[in-house]
Amino acid sequence: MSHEEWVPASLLDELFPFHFSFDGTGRVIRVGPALGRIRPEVTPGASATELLRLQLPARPLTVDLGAESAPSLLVVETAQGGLWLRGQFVPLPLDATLFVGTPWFNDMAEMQALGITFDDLPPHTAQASSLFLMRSSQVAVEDSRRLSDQLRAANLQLRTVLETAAEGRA
Amino acid sequence: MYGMINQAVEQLVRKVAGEAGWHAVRERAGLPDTPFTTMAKYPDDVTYRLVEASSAVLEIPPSDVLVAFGEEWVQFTLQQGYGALFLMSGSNLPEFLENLGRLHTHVAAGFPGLHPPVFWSTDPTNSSIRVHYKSNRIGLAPMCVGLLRGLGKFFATEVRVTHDKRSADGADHDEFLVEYQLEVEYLHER
Repeated sequence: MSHEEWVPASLLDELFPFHFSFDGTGRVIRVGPALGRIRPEVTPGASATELLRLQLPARPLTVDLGAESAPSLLVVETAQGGLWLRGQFVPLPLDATLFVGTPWFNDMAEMQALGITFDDLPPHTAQASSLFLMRSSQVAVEDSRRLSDQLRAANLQLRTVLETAAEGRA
Repeated sequence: MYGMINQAVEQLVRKVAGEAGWHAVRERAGLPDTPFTTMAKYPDDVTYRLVEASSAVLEIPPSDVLVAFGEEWVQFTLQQGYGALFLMSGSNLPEFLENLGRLHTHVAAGFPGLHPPVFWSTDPTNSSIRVHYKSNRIGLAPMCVGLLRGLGKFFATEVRVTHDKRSADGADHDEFLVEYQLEVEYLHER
């Protein structure tokens, strides 16, 4: 069975547009369409170990990552462009490994700067929704701050009125 | 509805009729002189009362208030920092409108308990697209006309919006024909 037969490539592209796979020599085999568009240097035949770095945990990117008995969350960073991907490695036949994951970001400005759109985020990932959740949380914090400022101003105004009234009585 | 809807109505009235106009609308709607909280939920009735009161104070039909509100809503959400999310949904107006339904699904995730309207689009061409709208809230469809015009402004695209099927006239849902002029041929760019 070849790498291509392991799972239909079109399905892999659709479900995991940021996937990539590489073989035991460290050469890239396949790249998902979104990753390939955003980081065009990550292309079949290129050196995965030069173009991609494992950040969490900080250890070398090796083909045996997918074969570890307890798959865990891993974070990969592209050497250029600062695209962080969180996901997992799974083993492929013929001494190869596949990474499936999604972009990792702190706010929508980062995603926008990288050129990522909602079309790049499959519906099964929660990322697009979490962007709205993040923004609405920030809006709620800003709103609380604004209401607090209004309350402080009203208190100050009330205190001034009371002091003026007290001086008038004195 | 979430408080930000009512905040946007307030912003519109203040723009059109100033502070005095807003106080007149608020009093006519029977609402206390307290600010709306963005992420708090209010009964739908509050928004309906605001629209009715705005119509009476500004002396324009409620449907015109809703059209103006739709346009203001786009501005308001941009001020709230959602512009980057707009751009992630599409780089031009028809692309954005094709993703409008998906956008609302994501919005619902950010606002627990929200019951957003459903949008979908059909018949995209290089010069027009048909936008469908269905909501369990009655009478708010004219807002979509303003919303679509406001989005045209956001994407610097001249638009003409025709509300040609109306749930108010017995249709299953509302439909809007959005005609636009783009510098690129949209269907070739897809």
